[in-house]
Amino acid sequence: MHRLLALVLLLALTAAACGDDDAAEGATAPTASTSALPFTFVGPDGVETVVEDASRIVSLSGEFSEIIWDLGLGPNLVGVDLSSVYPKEEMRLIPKIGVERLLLAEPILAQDPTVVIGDEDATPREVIDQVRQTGVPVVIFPRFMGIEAPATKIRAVGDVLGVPERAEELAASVQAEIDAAVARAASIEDRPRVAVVYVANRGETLLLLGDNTVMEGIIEAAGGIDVAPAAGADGMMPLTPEALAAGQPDVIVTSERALDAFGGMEGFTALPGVAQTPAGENGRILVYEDLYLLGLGPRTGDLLIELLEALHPDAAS
Amino acid sequence: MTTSPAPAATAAPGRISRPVLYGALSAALLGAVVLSLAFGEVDIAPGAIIGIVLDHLGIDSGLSFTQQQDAVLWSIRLPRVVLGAVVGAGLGIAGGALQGIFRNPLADPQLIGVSSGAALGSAVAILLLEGALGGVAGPIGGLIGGVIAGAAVYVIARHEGRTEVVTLVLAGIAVAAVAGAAAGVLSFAVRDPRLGSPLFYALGSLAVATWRLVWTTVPFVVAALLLLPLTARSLNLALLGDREAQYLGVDVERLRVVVFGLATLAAGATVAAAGVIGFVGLIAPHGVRLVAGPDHRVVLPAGALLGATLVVLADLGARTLASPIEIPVGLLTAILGGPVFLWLLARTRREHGGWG
Repeated sequence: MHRLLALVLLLALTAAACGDDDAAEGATAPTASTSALPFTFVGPDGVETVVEDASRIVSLSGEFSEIIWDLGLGPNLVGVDLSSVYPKEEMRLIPKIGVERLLLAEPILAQDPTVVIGDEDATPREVIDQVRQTGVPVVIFPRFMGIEAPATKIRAVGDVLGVPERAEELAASVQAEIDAAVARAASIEDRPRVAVVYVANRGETLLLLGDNTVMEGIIEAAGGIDVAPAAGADGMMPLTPEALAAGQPDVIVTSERALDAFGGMEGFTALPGVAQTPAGENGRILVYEDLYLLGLGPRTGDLLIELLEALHPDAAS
Repeated sequence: MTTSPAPAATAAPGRISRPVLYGALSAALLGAVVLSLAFGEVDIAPGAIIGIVLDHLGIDSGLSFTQQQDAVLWSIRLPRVVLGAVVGAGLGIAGGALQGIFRNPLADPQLIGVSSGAALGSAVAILLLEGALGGVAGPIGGLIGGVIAGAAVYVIARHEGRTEVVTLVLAGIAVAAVAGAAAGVLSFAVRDPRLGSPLFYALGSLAVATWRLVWTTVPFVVAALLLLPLTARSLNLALLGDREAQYLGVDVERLRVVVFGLATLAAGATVAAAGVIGFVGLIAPHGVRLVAGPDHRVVLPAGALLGATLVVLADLGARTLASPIEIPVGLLTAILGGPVFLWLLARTRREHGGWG
């Protein structure tokens, strides 16, 4: 019963937090030019989507909201999902349309969008179909992974929204930051073992992020050794305390939301398995904001540098 | 049989008459449907709602509405409300029939394993058959899974030509546990995003309602709605006990197969369409019993009406209370239905000195 109660409370709080959504509505005057439209996009599902007008954009995921903002199309964003938290103050003013993995059609359509953008995490698929049925184009990208993902994603979003040149510029500068971080990491010999963990079952299960997740290649690029491949993690692997201890990570990386679910830093370091690792013993737990760590967005270069310096305190200049 | 041992059609003291009961329940369902159509993130005025509905019926009413309002009402809100009513009616009548045939006030689709079987069947079908069948793979697999689970429970409980009611309930619990665990293991092991949130099956949702889903669910529920009331008189006699009913000319074993089969089909179809919406199959028929007595000729149809009303109202709350986030509808059926049910129980104990 406790868990049901907690869920209801959580939902009520979230509802209260989204209560002031209506304020930003109606005030949107498209300012950015999207001259390269229409654009025909064929998704991984084989669905052909024609985008003709990017004046009212709904983004189904925080990483896309951030990219759209950086492309200068922020004024055209009329609805974003709850994971859209960067830039913080600006995103707060945009109406929220739900949660990426539990979407509903009506909140999306209520914003009267001319285009909806998300990736394959945008579910349930039936809701995407419902929105498409009403004639609104919905662009569903594949899941982009790996160190090339941020630039690829930026170019893809730029194409779809009719701003390919601006996207090319942004992608090139983001890739340059990432390349610089990778080059710096390559010269470092000392390579700590790192486990990136996330949360499931509201704080009861640790998930190890391995290959085929957004963390693929990220730890290596920051000059660490990811313990996930050796532990056999493909995708997100639920972790027993012993498996974590056996991986002997020197550093554990996790997100703010995961840490909250585990009861903060105190609760996290007290988890069975965490305390038995070198990371737990030495208190080397790195915590980053969820979208920043797991979004593979335009700030990935910053993340890599930050990770690199945290993993190698001596290398920090 | 010219006389019925069941309560007469005239109202017994403290019980409401049938016209009043049906009138009140129909009005409640109609009200719930109208409210559900009127509320949502997209504003649609009552006039526009009428205009859109008339327009789809081929009548030009002159009432104005936008293309967006039409799309939202006709392809999102209306199928959702209709599916809610169909699912609620199916659960209500299946629960009432199962409680009668097993003479067990706790019987409902969840207890006899049908819900868990349907959840497992849906998951397997989505993984294996979605390529071949498309979007209907889930509902079809759910139906098959529910029927297999129900049949397994029934076969386990059958012994030398008779069904042992206690064994049947216990077997139902065991099959539900196994199927539920298997579905859990599957979603855990495969982690395929197509299986969606485990919450969908655990707590139910009408969020993905489409006309296609409505039409794949309707035949099974309508079959139960039309055919189960025909067994009401026999169900009344069966309440006396297997042997007594047998003496009065009821083929109890055959009755059990028919009722169990129809209820399983209806319940399996609802779970396949909307996940496990708990408590409705339990409280809808009991709610009717508490105000109108235990006659199955009333309990079955009125239970279906009450179940439909309950689910439509709960779903309205589910999608509007915490908007733009959806509350699992099963939580709300319990929150809405539970207190009313407890109040009815207390009232019955006060006025009739207890029940059952």
